Amino acid sequence: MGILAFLKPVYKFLALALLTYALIVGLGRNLPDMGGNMAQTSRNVFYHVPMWFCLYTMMAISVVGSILYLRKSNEYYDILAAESAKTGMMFGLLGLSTGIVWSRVTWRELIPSSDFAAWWSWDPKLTMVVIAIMIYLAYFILRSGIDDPNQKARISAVYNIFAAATLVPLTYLIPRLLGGLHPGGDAGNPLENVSLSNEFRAVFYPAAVGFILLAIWILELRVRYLMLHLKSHNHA
Amino acid sequence: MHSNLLFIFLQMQQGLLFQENKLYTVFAVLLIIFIGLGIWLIRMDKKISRLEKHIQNKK
Repeated sequence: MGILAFLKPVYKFLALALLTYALIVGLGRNLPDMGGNMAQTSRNVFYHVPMWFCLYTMMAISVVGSILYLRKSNEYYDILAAESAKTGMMFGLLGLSTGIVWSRVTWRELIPSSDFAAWWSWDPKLTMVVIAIMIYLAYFILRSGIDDPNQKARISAVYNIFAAATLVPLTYLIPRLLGGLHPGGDAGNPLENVSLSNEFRAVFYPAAVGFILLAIWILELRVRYLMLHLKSHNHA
Repeated sequence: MHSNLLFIFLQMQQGLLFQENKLYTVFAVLLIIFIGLGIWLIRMDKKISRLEKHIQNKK
């Protein structure tokens, strides 16, 4: 049935295996000491960053769903678009709240001679992420505001394409240009500048793939549930 | 590559027990992720129960 069908259940076991590896080795392995408060909290790279990878993956699936809906008018694609945006939003909120905890501990060192330990700072990355989240909140509000199912699907699909177009410039490009407290803003060309050492990569990549597969699993359950819901309510 | 299990366990001894610099931050992050996924699971469970009831009532 549609896009998700070619992903055989094997990927679920792969997700669990990769996440188990990421938890055990990510917490247990000795890593290069990055000094100060980063010495042990650098392990958060394995858990905080994949949240955002999940968000980008889900929003990409979402915009593909919206485009396919506009071409084929099949309600499956509308459900796929809405549910992947919801799942992506969930991972975005998890990424935001884990980032708040991590930055509170580590960023106080970046501003010498201050007791800075804020829950929130208006760093460009954080600000832009909040704007992106509000853009997607508007997508859900738009959906809940239209009663006619066909119109709702069509209008929200068009909106979703514009929302997705703002996501990467807002949360990736602008923070890179502006710099700020959040890492990743000042590293030059990301393809030339290697900031993660091999010890980190050996855990980070499996963790990222594991979390992305977990997100796809969650999405699959949501889509299956809603298709069932649709079927049982339509043929009453 | 030291990929055997014993080596990983030996490393865990050093990584977890002998250096305790702010490791609680990592636990807090993992806890947030765990709670977030848990809330999602509970909500999904309730929705499916409601759907089951709906299908039961129609029969």
